[in-house]
Amino acid sequence: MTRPSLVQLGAISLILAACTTGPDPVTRPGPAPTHTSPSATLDDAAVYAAD
Amino acid sequence: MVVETTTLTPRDGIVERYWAEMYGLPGSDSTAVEDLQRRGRVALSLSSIGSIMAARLHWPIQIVPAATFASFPKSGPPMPRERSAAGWFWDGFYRMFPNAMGDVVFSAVGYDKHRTRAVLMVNHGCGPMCGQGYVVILRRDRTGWHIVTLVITDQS
Repeated sequence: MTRPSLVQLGAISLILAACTTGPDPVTRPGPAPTHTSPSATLDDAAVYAAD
Repeated sequence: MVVETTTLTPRDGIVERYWAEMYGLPGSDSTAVEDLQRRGRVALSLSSIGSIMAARLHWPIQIVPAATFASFPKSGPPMPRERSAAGWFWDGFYRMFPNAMGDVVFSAVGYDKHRTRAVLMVNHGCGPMCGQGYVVILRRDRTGWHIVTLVITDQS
């Protein structure tokens, strides 16, 4: 493993920022979720969206 | 595009060494790593928290079922030399999501016993020979969760 540079010490949200959809994703929704898996928790949401 | 279910924690030999290294990363906690291994045995759905994530992130994200990704072709006529067979997958991806800049796959989150430290893995793919994998360690304070360590585990 390599150590991160200062630039890489951003955030998960920065990773997500690199994956943004177009300006209006609501008009182009993806397939309906089919989730039979147990759900992630509210705590998890805060972690995934951390900066 | 965020894949709707978390990845299972890897068990193959290539990634196993990361488990050992995770214990020594700055800010790491052994109970959090063990919790990640435990929670990562089952794929978790992110659908129910997608809107919460989106509200916090300020960027539009879309939760996409893993089955959608599985529907993209994995092979086809030979690609030009500079493109691997993965090009077929990404062609399918960008046909369906032309404005996207890739996909993100999260692992489950592992917490320490005090739930003030967390560890997870994130993978961002953007095309053939384009992507990065990360191990992320976070700490919670009065203001919320903050990244303390982000290590690139693989990159292409």
